[in-house]
Amino acid sequence: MIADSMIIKVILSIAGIMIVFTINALFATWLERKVAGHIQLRLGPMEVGFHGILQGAADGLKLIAKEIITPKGVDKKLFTLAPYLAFFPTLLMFVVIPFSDKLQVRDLNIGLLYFFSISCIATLGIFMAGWASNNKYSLMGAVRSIAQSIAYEIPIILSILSVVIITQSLKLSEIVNYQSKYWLVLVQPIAFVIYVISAIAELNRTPFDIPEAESELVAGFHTEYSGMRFAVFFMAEYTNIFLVSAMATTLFLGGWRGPILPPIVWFFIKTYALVFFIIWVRWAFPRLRPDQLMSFCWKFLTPLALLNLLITTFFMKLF
Amino acid sequence: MNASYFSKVNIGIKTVIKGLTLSISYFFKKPVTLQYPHQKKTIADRYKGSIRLKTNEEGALKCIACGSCEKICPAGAIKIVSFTPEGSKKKQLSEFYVDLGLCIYCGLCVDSCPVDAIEHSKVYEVAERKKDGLILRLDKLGEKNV
Amino acid sequence: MDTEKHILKDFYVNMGPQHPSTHGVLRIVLKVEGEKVISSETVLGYAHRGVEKMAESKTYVQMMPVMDRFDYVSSMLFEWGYVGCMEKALGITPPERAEYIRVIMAELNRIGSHLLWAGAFLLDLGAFTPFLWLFDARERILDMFEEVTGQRMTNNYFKVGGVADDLTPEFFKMLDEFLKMIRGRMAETETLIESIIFLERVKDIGFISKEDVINYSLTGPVARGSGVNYDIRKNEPYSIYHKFDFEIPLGEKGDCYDRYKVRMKEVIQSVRIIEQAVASIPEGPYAEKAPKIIKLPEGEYYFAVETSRGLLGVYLVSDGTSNPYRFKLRDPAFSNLSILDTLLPGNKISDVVAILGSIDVVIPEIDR
Repeated sequence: MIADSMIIKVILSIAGIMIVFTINALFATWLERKVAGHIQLRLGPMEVGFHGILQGAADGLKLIAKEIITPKGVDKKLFTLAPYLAFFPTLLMFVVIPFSDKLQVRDLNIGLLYFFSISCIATLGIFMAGWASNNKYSLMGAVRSIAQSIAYEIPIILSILSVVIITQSLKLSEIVNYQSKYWLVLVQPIAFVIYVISAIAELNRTPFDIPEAESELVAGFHTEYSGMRFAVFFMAEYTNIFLVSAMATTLFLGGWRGPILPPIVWFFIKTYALVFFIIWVRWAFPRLRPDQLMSFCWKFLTPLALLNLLITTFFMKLF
Repeated sequence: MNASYFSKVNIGIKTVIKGLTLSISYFFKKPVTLQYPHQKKTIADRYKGSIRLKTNEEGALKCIACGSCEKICPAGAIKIVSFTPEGSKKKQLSEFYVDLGLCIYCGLCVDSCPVDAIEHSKVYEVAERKKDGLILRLDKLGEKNV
Repeated sequence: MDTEKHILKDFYVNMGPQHPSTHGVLRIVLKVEGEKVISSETVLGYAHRGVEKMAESKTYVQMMPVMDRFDYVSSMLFEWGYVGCMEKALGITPPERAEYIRVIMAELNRIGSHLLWAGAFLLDLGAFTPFLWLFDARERILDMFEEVTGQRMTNNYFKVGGVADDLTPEFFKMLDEFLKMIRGRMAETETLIESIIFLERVKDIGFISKEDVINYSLTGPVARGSGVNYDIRKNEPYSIYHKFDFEIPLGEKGDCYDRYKVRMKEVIQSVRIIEQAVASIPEGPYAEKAPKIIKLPEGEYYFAVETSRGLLGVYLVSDGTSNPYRFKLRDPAFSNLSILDTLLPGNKISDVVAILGSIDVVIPEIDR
């Protein structure tokens, strides 16, 4: 059958990923600005399109038209490579997400492990950007970002391990199938909270956005990037938000399961509810100092995640 | 892990939840934005916009070219060119320039005029594309400078 | 190790003149080691306009719009200092109604300045929302100013002998609505601001002791946050402040949190003063007759007012002509900034922003 042909499948998956990625980039940026506006008693974008829905396209056009400036003392190869290194892994991570029971590019049986290993490569991109920029502020931003990314991987992995212990599988479609009786958030609320907090920290968003702190280090590791390269960093961040929420939906909120509407609609509703929450947190709180960030991770989140893991193992052994 | 650790956790959870609920309650309030230029604010009566010369009932300018406003302007934005017609000792106004790029909209010229010939209008959209466009010739503008 | 010391020494970071959180053009040269600040040096003068020299070639009336432009967030308080000095020299007392109008305007200016300060402080720390909630409140104050004086910020409203124009009934309506909403808005904004993240950023940072307050002659909320009870409105009352019932909030420890709390409470005390003033404002003229061309008699005159940042002193030396011979401002933010170089060493870079924000500087006022 045509649908079984490998090449057709590959082409369709690439097209699907690009469509989801583009629509998310436009929609998530619009959502961010609208939510920010309404929380702050103002309107947000209103001019371009109906209530500003085409604002993302206008921004993209503007960034493409800008001059690409390469400062003098930069390390040229690293400087040009860094944005794409931060961005490309996000496209790879789309491969294992189950959008619905039939829409999943590749159902690897180490799906979960694959997802989190690929996401670590983005950290390299950030550090390359900071180092190659020949700028004190970028370097400081990059160093802080590395420390933060490495530290917050641990609570993420520990909280997911609790889920894996219950479902006894790393395959994402099986985890979603396990939740046909009850959503995993009901038995693992603490793991859910730890996962969401650590994911916000991995994304370098407020309250953990020291690497791109506007009022302290101008713009952190992407100070020297202009035009299309900055747009690539920007899109990488928003795609990461979507991916992290998608993973949280799959693991904790029942994936594409839901009563009346088609599965893919449920998936997007749940994912964007989490995206809305991540955006909401950004506009409510100030940012943490770097050492407070680290002590929050090591002294609070990691012990809590370990405790959660212990309790889960204990209960799994008993029942 | 002493008492302050748990009290911090306690304060942390309480304040974070309060902050989140408060910010989302503002999400549902009506925004206070005015969408300029589709909606414009109503200007107060006393608004100090760009200046203009007043006319009397016959339509002639009241200005007697005494130069008080030119002397008192802190920024030096007013320039008056006057002439004395033959057979009269009184000066008459020939040209009256104001440079809106220098004017600080303080109103000292309006206060100092002895015959009340100058006033503030409510015009605040005075942007021009060239710097020369900011030098207005007030004795000629008349009705247009509303 | 020796090589380590060589690599890490003398790492200078410039919080340069163009920076989102130095409240103007201020340059702080920090010598850091990792995240810790070893020493700091403040460089001023990027916004110097030579106003004190300019005053010698302008008349007294022409200097009034210039007085607005020192501290543009609360301009009428500076105008009051200047007008008060001239009235002291000429021996003119303004009528009762003018004094009440001046008090209402000055306290509204103080509220506006503190609202802007709180918004900018939180913006430096990374919280974007309180900035806009407080600016919405400040917009209503600016609308009130536009109603009465014609301008929103640099008003040119105070004149020798009184004020330029009377208050309108529309103003009292707007003031009424404002007073009804401000307490609720302040309470809600404080609830949003004081999350655990803010408290951790701001508590126990930047201690100023009482001896330092007196040695460095700090005034305003910076001094009151450390527990030094000094407010010109109570210690050397001018105008009609002795008629109003208000408190001076004091801090205890002298850290950034105390200074923040003092300013928040001052807003509420200013609201109290305005309510009392509106309730008992008399009818009457709004200005006395003053000479059109002002010439102060020969001599030296000094007048002090309490602005939102501290003690403002205006010192005029006159030689009998219509231009001042010497005009000197003792402005509060300049003296308050002098403590920065002793406070910063030992803190981390992120704390520099919090400490500088809590001292509340407006650079044109410092650089004159």
